[in-house]
Amino acid sequence: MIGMRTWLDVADNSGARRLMCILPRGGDLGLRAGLGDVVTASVKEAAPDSAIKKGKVVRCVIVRMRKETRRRDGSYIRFDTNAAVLINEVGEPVGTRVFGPVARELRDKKFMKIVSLAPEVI
Amino acid sequence: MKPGRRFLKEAPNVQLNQAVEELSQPGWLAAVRAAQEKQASDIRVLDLTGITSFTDYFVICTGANSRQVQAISDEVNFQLKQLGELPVTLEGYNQAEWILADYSDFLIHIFSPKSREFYDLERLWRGAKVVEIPPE
Repeated sequence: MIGMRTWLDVADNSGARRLMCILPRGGDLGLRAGLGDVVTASVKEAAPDSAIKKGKVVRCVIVRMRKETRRRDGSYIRFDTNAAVLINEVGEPVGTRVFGPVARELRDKKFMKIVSLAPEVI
Repeated sequence: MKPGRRFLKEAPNVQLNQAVEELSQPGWLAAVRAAQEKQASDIRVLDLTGITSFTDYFVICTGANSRQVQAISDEVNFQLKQLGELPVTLEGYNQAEWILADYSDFLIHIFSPKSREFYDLERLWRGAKVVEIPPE
């Protein structure tokens, strides 16, 4: 699960490289975030000359998570990394491409734009 | 033979036949026709069968401004509702930069010219087969 101070990889070409989760959306009511949840994060590393600078506070959606997630059919999905995609305040992706696989749970959470930009959905 | 069936055989109901004909056309084609009705430009249909698992078709089109983008979305939703298809999700309607309607089997992307160029979905899915839109 993703909580305060969890480090996240960035799975898009927005310019940010690494993030640290400040708090999942919902304040202390939503202390743990899962796949498809929105978290507020701080940019810890960014690509040089990118629009997103280190220290910026951003919103992002969790697309991959190391903690396994149970599905309705009884299977579990688990990824190698914790990764997120940056979104703006209205939920549109900041980058134009998403790298690596994303979880199917994003469809249920109404992030089909991110799913459309991803090369693979698991 | 049931009385209803005999009635149909003796006096074919033109409206019913038209409705059946409309139902037989694929949903994405109905969406394309609806978009054409609202003068959507640069309509592309991509066949993603075998490339990705989350959907089968992308319908991509452009509206000149936010009002037209919303009008296309409204018309597509209205026409598909007549066929009994409702979107699972509708994203980005208020901003009208990129409206995405998810109908499970096919997704409809309605872009503003700026967003279409920015996201460039055709380039991302260049491995997909481009479907020829049959003339009306």
